[in-house]
Amino acid sequence: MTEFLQYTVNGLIAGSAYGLLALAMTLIYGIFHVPNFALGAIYALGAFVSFYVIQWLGPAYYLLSLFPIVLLAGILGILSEKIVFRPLHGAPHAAGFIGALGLYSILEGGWSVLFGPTWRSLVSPYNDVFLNLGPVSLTLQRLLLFIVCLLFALITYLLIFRTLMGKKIRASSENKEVASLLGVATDRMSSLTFVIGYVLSGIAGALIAPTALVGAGMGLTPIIKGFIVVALGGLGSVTGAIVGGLILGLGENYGAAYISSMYKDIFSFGIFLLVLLLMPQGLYKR
Amino acid sequence: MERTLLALRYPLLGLLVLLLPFLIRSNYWIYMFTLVGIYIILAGSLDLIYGYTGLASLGHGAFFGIGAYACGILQVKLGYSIIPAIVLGTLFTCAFSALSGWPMLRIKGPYFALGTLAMGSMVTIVIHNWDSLTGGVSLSGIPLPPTIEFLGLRIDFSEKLPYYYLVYFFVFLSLFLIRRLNRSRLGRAFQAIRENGDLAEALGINILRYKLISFVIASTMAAFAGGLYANYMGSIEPEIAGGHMSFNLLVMIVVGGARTLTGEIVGPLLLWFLPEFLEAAVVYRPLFYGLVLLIVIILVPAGIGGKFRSLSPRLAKWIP
Repeated sequence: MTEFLQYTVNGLIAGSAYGLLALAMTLIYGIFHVPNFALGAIYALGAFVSFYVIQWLGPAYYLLSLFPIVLLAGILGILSEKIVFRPLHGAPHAAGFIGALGLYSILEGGWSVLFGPTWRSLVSPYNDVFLNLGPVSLTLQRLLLFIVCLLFALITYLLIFRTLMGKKIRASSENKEVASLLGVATDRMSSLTFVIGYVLSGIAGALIAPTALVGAGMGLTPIIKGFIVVALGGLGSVTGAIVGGLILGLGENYGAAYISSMYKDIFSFGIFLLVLLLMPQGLYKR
Repeated sequence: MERTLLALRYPLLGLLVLLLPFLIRSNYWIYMFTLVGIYIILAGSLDLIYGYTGLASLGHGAFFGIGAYACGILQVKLGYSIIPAIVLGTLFTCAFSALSGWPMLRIKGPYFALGTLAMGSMVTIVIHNWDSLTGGVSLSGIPLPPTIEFLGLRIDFSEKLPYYYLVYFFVFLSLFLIRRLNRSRLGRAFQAIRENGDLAEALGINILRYKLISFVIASTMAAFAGGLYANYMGSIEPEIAGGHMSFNLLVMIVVGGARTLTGEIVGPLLLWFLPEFLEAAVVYRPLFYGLVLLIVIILVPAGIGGKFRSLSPRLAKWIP
């Protein structure tokens, strides 16, 4: 029972990061209907920035790294929306999707060139602080990851559903033509959505960094899982992204614990294929 | 004059391929061109799925990898000789692609790409972890084909030249097959599905069946290329089945130009040799591939072959 609780906590923590990535993915998907893989590279950028902040300024400044991440991710979000996704919007035969893959490859390759191709680990000041909550133990870093992820998910939720700006974003992704007829600056809204999505991915990367290895290619599997969550939770659904993320994290951790840890990723890919196969039509409908 | 030359363009291309090793006279470059040949088979077979049938697959590398591993395992672990190993390995992959394609081809749009990517990753993970069968991080000791003595002719595959000709024989065969296929009734069904799936279905084309046929033929060709690759390299790694491999193949066909023979040849040649000529370090390759892909998909969506074809009908005759 103790073990089960521990796996549950681990699963929820891993799942909160997937949830944040899925949230970023689903918001951007709403605009251009393209799964934007480049978010995986932004996730890696977030990890790299916090790595360098800790290396240059010291571990105490770890949380400060969120500021440059917001700035860098925001700029990249605007640029990629303008240069890649807007020109490719409406092009036939998966062009947008292939463009997203190209952008991911450029960014991942760019990080390898800029930061070097090696994998490294990052020491957060919260990594060595252990908390014992009854039978379950976890590091402060992992608790932080969980709390901050949910916090940002909540902020995003409020932004999308409780503000006028959020209403405009929702209107633009619901029906671009009508929204623009009604006076919504749809192009600006899509830039804004990209900024939000990129910032969320960068933050997820910075939070994950101390619990994983940091490297240029670290974002590919998480972003695929983020998309899996989007498929699980339903496109365009903010709560679906978070709940789906937690479910995937749990499923993966139970599978790893009770069946085989080597095949951990197989469980999430298997879940994904099953979802796609069992409800292919439901997925396309919002 | 022009007509004679036009009729001779394929024989001339064949002659060029035959004479190329004597022009370059370097074992290293013959080795590189042999590998490119294997990539041409792969890109050509992907064109059947992506270009003609309109399915953006990110799992084509998986079938290359399974073919290579099946062929390698049959020889290294089970003691088969090369020809039965390649044949059985290819047949195994053919069956595997039919079994996996049957459910997966029901998935549409970007989900299909994601599903195939997930499948490729699963294949890589299984190969990595099942080390008693696959050797884990690499399977080595796959032999070259044995030396053949035929009518006083001695073909020794430890030299680079014979394998080069062997590979290009299959390059020609597979490109020929792909072209014939696409001009047949079957190929027209594939293209109808790409252009307008609903309309094709209304005309009585069983979409799922034709998608499956296209998928299985292409995967079988990829598996055969895998067998050629395994025996040439002698050792293989799980990464050949993974997402990066499939992505590179997609880049080759998009950049070269989908649905053109030129694209199937130029794409692999360009993306293989350009980084080589620029003497770029390996670390620059993903950056380069991504940049080329992005520039082409935004500015010349038809790819190099498609762009040249659209310039003038006269040029189009020369660029199949």
